Amino acid sequence: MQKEIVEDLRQQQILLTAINSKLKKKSHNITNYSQIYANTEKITNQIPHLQKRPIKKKSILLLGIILSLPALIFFAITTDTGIFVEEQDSLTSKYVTENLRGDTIDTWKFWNIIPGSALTVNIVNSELLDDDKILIIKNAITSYETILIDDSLVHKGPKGTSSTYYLGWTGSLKNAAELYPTKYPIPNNFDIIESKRGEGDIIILLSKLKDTDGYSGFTKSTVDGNEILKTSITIYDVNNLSESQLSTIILHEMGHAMGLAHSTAPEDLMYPVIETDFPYISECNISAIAALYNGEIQGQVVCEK
Amino acid sequence: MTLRENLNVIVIDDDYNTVEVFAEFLELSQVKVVGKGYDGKDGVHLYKQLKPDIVFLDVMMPDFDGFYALENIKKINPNALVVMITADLSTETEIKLENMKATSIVYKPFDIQQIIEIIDKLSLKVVKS
Repeated sequence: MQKEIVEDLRQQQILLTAINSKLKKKSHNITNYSQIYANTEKITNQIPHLQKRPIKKKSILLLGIILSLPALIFFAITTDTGIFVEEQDSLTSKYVTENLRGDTIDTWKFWNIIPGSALTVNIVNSELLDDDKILIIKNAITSYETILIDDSLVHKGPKGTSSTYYLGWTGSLKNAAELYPTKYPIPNNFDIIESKRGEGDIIILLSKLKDTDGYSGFTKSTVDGNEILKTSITIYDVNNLSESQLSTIILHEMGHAMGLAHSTAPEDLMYPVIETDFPYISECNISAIAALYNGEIQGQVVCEK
Repeated sequence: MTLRENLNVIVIDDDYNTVEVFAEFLELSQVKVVGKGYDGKDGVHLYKQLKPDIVFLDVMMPDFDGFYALENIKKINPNALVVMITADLSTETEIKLENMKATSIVYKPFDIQQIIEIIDKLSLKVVKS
């Protein structure tokens, strides 16, 4: 229990720093969280002393902390003066979170198409980008190109072993359709149009606006039961994306559009935050697609390699 | 890429400040905190009453601990999503929680980004069920 008291205080400091950072983003007028931060920092500094004191003194000190924190939070929220502390690098981690299931990709919803038919992808507001960048979007959907990546670079195997990655969804989906017999046909043909009227099965809306939560892409699917009827992808702040960023976001969001949820593996294209240097469609993504279109809609695909 | 705003959660921890600050953080992250409790008994009562999508549950609590709450919440709903939060790094506790079908174990002090990722991942399960 004593150990948990110390960890609780450290936890509160981390949370308050995160709250501070979020509020700073929300409004530059809400300030003074530095007071709380300073207070929690002071508390953390007292931890070594606290650990050496007799239990009774600890209880008194903790009671004081407990009583003072709500007041400080109230003070920080209701005042608009003061200086914000520098944003802390709370994302670099010495902390541990464990997922009990290992690295997995959830499968989610699927398209139920007539075998051989194509899905129409409509790029809306294509005039916002030059032809080269529009071509990059199209390539992320229609390319058959593959590359070989050494497994050691993506922490999936020893040096010298390698895996094939696809640079576009058409190639990977055709591969999935050929490799796996599935209950529902895997869509692997796409007709790409550029229209303002919102027709098509998958709408890619290019937007100049920045998302307030910092997302680069957002995918929303209209479904009936587990079947996708129409999918809308929004790409935010599109003018400020590099060619590789644009390609990566399209690959990721198209993964959602095809029915994939997020992966738990940081090296994977479908990880919620793109961290990998190799954001391409992996064999694991293909297996996940195959499982999904085989009706395993509640399933998870474990990326063994 | 997020469905967080659709989630209802409850937070159970015997440390009042931890509950308050964690709840504040969750609300700012667009997750709706519908209940707060301070021991395992509170946790079971709140789960029964509110049927939240996710339960954030401290393990070490006096009298009625997290094991008690996890066991009884799973009796109410075997598929309940219960994220166990603990400073106890022992393998014994980990195995016990795994056997009790805890959805995830998070060790204090936890990384904010990892919590968000767990929430986003579980939010997809909520949509599916």
